[in-house]
Amino acid sequence: MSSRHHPWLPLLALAAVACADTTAPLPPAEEVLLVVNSTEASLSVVPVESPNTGITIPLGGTTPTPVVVAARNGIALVPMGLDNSVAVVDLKAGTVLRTIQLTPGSGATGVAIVSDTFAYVANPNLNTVTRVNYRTGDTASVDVGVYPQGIAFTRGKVFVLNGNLVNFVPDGPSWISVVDPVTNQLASGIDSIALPGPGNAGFADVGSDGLLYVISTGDFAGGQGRLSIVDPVGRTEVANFGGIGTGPGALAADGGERLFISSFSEGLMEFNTVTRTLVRGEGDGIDIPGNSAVEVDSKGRIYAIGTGPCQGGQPGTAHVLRANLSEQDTITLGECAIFAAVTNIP
Amino acid sequence: MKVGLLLMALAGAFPLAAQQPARLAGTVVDSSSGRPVPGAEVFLGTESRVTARAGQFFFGSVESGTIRLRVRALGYRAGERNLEILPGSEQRIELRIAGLAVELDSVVIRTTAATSLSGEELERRGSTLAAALDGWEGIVVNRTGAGDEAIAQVRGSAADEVLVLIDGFPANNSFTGRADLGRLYSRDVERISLERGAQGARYGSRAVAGVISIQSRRSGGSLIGGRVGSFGSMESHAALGNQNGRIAFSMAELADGFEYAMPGGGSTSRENAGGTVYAVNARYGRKIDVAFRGSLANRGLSGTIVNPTPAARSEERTAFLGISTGDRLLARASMEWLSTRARDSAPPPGFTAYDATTTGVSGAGSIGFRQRMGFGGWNGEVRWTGDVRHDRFDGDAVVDGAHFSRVGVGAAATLEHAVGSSTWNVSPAMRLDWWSGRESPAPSARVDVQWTNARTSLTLSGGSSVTAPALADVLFRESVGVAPNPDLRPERVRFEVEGGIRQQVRLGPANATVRLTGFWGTVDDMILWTPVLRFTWTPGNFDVSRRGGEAALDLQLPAHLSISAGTNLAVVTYRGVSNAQVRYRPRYTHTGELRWAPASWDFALRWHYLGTRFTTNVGTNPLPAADVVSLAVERRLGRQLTLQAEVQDLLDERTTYIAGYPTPGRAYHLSVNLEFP
Repeated sequence: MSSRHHPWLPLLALAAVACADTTAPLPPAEEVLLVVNSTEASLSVVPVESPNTGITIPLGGTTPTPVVVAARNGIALVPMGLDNSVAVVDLKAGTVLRTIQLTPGSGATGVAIVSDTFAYVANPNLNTVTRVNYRTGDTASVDVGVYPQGIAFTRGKVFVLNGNLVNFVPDGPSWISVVDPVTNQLASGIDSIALPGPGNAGFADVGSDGLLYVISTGDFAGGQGRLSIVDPVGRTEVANFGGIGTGPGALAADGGERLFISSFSEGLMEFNTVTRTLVRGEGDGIDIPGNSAVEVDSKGRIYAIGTGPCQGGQPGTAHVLRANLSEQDTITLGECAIFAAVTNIP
Repeated sequence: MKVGLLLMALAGAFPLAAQQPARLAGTVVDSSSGRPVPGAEVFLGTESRVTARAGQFFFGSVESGTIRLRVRALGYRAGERNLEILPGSEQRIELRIAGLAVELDSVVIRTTAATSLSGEELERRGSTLAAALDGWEGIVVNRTGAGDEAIAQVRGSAADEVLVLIDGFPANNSFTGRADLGRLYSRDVERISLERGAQGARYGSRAVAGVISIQSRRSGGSLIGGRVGSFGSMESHAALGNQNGRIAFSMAELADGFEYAMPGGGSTSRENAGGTVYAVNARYGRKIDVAFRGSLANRGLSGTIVNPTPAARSEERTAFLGISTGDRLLARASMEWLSTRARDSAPPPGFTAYDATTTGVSGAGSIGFRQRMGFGGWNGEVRWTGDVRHDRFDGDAVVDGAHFSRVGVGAAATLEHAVGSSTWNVSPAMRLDWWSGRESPAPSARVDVQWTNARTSLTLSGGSSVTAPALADVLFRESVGVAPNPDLRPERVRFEVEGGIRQQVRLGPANATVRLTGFWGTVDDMILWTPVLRFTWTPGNFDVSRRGGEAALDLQLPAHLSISAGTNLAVVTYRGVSNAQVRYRPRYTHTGELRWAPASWDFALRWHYLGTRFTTNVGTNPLPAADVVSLAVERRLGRQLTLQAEVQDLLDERTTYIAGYPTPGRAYHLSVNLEFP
């Protein structure tokens, strides 16, 4: 074996290393549960496979009142409520990248991300939604209905849930405004979908059947909650169900036929999207104290969020449920955990 | 032989010296703070002296032998001291007198851990008590704007846990329980004292974290003056007085219209943050003491910087009449009327227009009896008291006919025992309170023990307190964004202990006083307003731990220089699951003052460090710490005219006390006072 030293060998090695860098597989995306802790003004980021390694990201702000979150490709957007702004969070770095100011008085509540550049934020106090370029901070608003407080994005259109609240009380049934994100105008054709019911529509999710499931909470009294099923293509409500009691809120589909509905007073309820029946309705919910939200991860684990007392720094809790709704684990969250989303961090 | 000659010489010398008068010089100082007391009267037989600015007095010809010096000063308990005067000698002494926490005619409740400021010192620190007391002895005065309430926080207290007394009458708003220091003017104060800790056994309701006792000026000459400052602030005032009484008028136009930075960039003008306040304070007394206070305020409710409310206004009218009389048998009665109208015809988007008026009347009476006591070398007095109070409110913001009654009985004693050159003081107190809706009495107790010698004072205290929720916390009308809590429980300090030492040290030509205090206690069911689910604000009960300490140094240097510095630690945390610092409570506050007062000049550079406060319950969203520096220069021209120039917030820190409510930053003030003795 020759011991002769070849001067080009280091260059070769360097080239090999460089090639190895460019061809190495990307690290696996990490699936995380995001939870907005409202009175604490923070975002809990909990890896679903290692819940003990979660972090909490303070959202900053002046008088923030965050209540929802949306995420995509490692970026989360949190409308900051009374701060009239939206926080853009880098989930990988665990920091707020920037805070984008919206129109004064916006009351920013409700968000949906439509691309790697644009998101829509609802301004309930201004009866508008704002298309936000969350890369640059540019904003442009469009008029919608009364008290828009929730947004869903599907089939290329933005569906704005108009809560129709006046002084925080329903002033009649809610409806959906449909916005085309390309033109940032109300969509051509049918741009409004009626939601017969008690009003105060605020939460929606897309089921595995491609339909949009919308909760109208009503006035938090007298078992007014209703579930609407909306065809996002035909832009019409196709069904409407009661029996979900008082104070229903966020909902989540499991990728199959199950749809879970959280409720402060009823606990965790379940709807079957195939049979269109309530599996667990009013009076039969899983007992989750202060159940404010629900999410399902890629392995079918159900996260039922309990707010906690919302006082004194006492934490909220994510109850991790198996498919049979038995409790598998609990995760400690921040004060007043109020909304959840599951996303992948690349 | 030599010894005999020496004895003879000495024997001859003594009678000779006995005929030579001695010289006696001294200083009168506050026993708790060690600060000099100017204007005190020192009596030696038929002669008397009035102490100078630095508390000094001098008798140039004093007969040898045992003499008795007596001293008295407004706002202090009279004191006396026996001295052996050597013939022909020149002696220097220090007379320490204790501040009065509360003056009830001639009856004094004396506590052992009060610190105090004279009205003169107070005026130098700021024109209102809000400005003068912020930073003093660890007090944080929280406010949202120049025209809004300014509330004292002592050791991380809740807004209604500090009792403010004016001439023994509570100044806390009978509806909210809070005392607004922004409407009280330093020039109307003779002396102010602070007693920290659970003082409910002596003072009753609201005295959970401390008591600020104000002795108003009840006599004196006439005065006219004014003050102008940045952002359009103006004040004018006048007072008329004689030896029996005083009436003072004031008008203040509060700051408005300053620039501030907006979140996200840019700046805009703060609007509707000011207002106008008219006030009258009168006190007259010979055998019966009568106090009257009235105010008329019209101020802006500016809202937060992210949701300004340029059209929101508040109109407040208050009138108070108090009468007290007696010596051994004490009686006092008071009546207070207040009316508040708050309105906003053009609120920001999402908020609701409102126009709400609330009026109320409160009546209170108390009777007390004091008796001298003595046993086994202990002397002192005990005071028995009983008091009753009724508040009634009506209007748009409260439920119909909201009313609240309270009854309390208590006993407080002060005992003193001299052992050689040291003195023991023991002050026990007990009290029982009943109020509307409460079946069993709520007890409070406290005892202070103090040992004092020439230069050292040691104090150990322990006590409990209880106070009912304020009327505004339980009987307001539910509205948008706020919800009452019918299950609100009274706040209770089950036990709190406090220990301290005060040491005077001579450092070359300088006199130094060092004070160290430590405290530990718990508050059950502290009432705090917090946002709950969906940001509805409601009062709630929280169990809180309160511990910390205070350290202070006062240094009197030659050449009219003095330096004082203090540091305060208040660890106020939620008990139980979270150990986070309670929101808006700084852990650390520091103060410093460098003062030079040659002849008719007075220069003062003050520094106040306000530590980080968190706006959430879990230690996030901090309001940054701030160094607030002010510089004041005062010049006395003759005995009548005083000019003062002041720069507040010299470093333009613009610290924020409450999130969303900026302060204006660097501000300049000029004031002039003309006195007619």
